[in-house]
Amino acid sequence: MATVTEGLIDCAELSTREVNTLLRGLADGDQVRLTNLDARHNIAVGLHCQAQITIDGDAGYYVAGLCDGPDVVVTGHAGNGAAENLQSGSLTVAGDVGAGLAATMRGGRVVVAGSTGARCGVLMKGGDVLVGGSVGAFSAFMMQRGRLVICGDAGEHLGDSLYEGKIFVGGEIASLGADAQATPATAEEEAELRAHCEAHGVTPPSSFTAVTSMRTLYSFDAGAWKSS
Amino acid sequence: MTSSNGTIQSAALALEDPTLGTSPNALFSPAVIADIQEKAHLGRYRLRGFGARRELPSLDDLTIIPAGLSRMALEGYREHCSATTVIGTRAEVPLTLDIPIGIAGMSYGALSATAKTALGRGATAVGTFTTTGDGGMLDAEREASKQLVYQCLPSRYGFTVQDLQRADAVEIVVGQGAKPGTGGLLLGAKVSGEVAEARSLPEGVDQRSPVRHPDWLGPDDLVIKIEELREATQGRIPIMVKLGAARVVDDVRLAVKSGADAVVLDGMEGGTAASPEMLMDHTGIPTMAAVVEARRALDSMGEVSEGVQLVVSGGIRHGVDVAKLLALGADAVTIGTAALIALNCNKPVFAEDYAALGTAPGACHHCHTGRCPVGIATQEPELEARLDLEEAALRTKHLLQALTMEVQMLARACGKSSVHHLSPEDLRALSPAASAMTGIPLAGTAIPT
Ligand SMILES: Cc1cc2nc3c(=O)[nH]c(=O)nc-3n(C[C@H](O)[C@H](O)[C@H](O)COP(=O)(O)O)c2cc1C
Ligand code: SF4
Repeated sequence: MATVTEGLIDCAELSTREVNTLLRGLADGDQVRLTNLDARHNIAVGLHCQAQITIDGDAGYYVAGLCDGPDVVVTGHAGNGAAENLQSGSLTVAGDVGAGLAATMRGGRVVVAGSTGARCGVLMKGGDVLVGGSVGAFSAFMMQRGRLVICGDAGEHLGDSLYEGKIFVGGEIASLGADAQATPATAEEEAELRAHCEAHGVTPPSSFTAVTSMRTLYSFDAGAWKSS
Repeated sequence: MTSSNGTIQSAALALEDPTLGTSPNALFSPAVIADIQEKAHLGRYRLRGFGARRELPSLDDLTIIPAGLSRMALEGYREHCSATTVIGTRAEVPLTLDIPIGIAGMSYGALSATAKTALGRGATAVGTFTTTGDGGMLDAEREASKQLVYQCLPSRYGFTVQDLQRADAVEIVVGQGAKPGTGGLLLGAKVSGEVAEARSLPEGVDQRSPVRHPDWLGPDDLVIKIEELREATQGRIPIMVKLGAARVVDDVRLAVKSGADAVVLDGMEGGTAASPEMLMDHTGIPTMAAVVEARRALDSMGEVSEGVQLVVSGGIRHGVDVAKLLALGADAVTIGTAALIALNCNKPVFAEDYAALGTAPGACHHCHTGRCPVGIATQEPELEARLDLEEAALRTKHLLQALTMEVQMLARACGKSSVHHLSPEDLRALSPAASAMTGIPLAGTAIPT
């Protein structure tokens, strides 16, 4: 079994299980760089350590999925379900990401310099997502809590059946989903969002639109179900 | 008769058919009339708990044919009849059970914490597993359950990597028999502060659960999702896929092809805490038909399905149902409603509280209201206090034990030294429909060769 040599793991000859087992052995504060992964799926999943993991090149599906602690950087693009169910820690992607980015995310931070596919932030339960580019359709579907900041455009049905989460969009919104409403961001929100973008190396748009829930779906109907 | 007086005309009609005035219409029965009027009042479909209420082709349409001269029975109280059951044999640490019956996934939220804990303790006492549900894993439930299956549902309410890594198996839920193709519901009365926090929701909201998984959509993605769960658990525990019985052959084959270690199949009789009324009675296929299709699907896959177990649920009431399902090809079964009934569901106590819900003991299906008179399907502390944990755990244990003894008794009568040796050959159909659905010969049609 290979070991981590001076913070570098050449993954060419390692199975995905071996790579993840090595990562599971990292201690808080460790720094490691993974090479030759060739966009393999399921890298850096199920980790608790607060280590810094850099993936050279592209990552496949579910990179940094089911994690609670690590800071993962992908220097290329990432596949579907990146950072799914992230509890704490972060994922930073230099390129674009597929569908379902940060699905069911609970905490931590995700920053994507490029754009993402459909269902970005679907069922988010917390945490902070920043997308420098645009997001696809059905993003923030049933989002429960947390913040999704989109500097570019949003696809159709944005924020459908949203609960308490908050979405900010810099560009065009193709359409809002059921129960979602759009209002201009407040001056404080604008200032905070601009600082947030700049802190993460993302160029902020000229202004943001806030998307929140109208809460008309909070009650199935005004109590009549109780008897039937 | 020729009078224009309406009263005289009605009397004449009544004379022609004396029952016409009072006999109910078969199509628009009193129940249908009440249903239409209730919907006209509500302006939406009706919701309830429990499961299908209408009569369906069922396991009662099959009979078991024990040994005689042509084969030897085992002594009922003396000879060994194994009930040991293993699920997920391809995983490093499969579920190894002393009995072929587990407790199905029922959420904390739908059920009280006391009910969940009692189920865990009862299951552990007889060497079987219990399952979490659409609300995450309770610490008390984990502690109470030696073997605990962790559900991965579309909502991922309360889903954490820590709980995943302390689970004994994972069950990816694609559907439920009570409502295949639809998501879940937990109405506001049950979304207490604690339940809301566990699910990251506003307290008191009528909570809907999505039907589609957020991070995979079809079987091609499911392959990778299953691998992700295996990576996170280092391939140690079985990953199962639960299906509501509908397009069984295709769905079972796709689940296996996606890498499931076991397929959990829930027939249309399957219970629920809250579902639209019409779905329960009019969607999916009955458990008896589903198990046969699933077994055929698995057997058709050759080596690909080797070591993949079939777990079946939906309407199981007693050991006879269990024995018939094992004979039809299930490797294990799970129970939901029957376990709740063991806890005290529908028990004739607190009759006034049943009446306040508009029901009575024996007819209650009001789990969705959160006002369960016996403290099972509720989050109200004063109702939950009615369920004594120790006694409820003991009743769960007793039920599982009794069901297993019934299966063993039937297996011995058929000359089988393991409950898993029961086979279709031990059954006969009592109706042409059951025979057609299962391929089991109709009783009375055997011809000497
Ligand atoms: C109160 C209650 C809550 C349930 N909650 C869930 C759930 O959270 N997830 C799930 O997959 N199935 C759930 N089910 C369905 C069961 O897992 C199982 O499929 C069904 O109960 C089996 O049918 P039976 O009740 O006739 O035994 C629930 C069932 C009941 C009765
Ligand atoms: S008694 Fe309780 S658990 Fe049983 S059907 Fe009624 S509400 Fe549901």
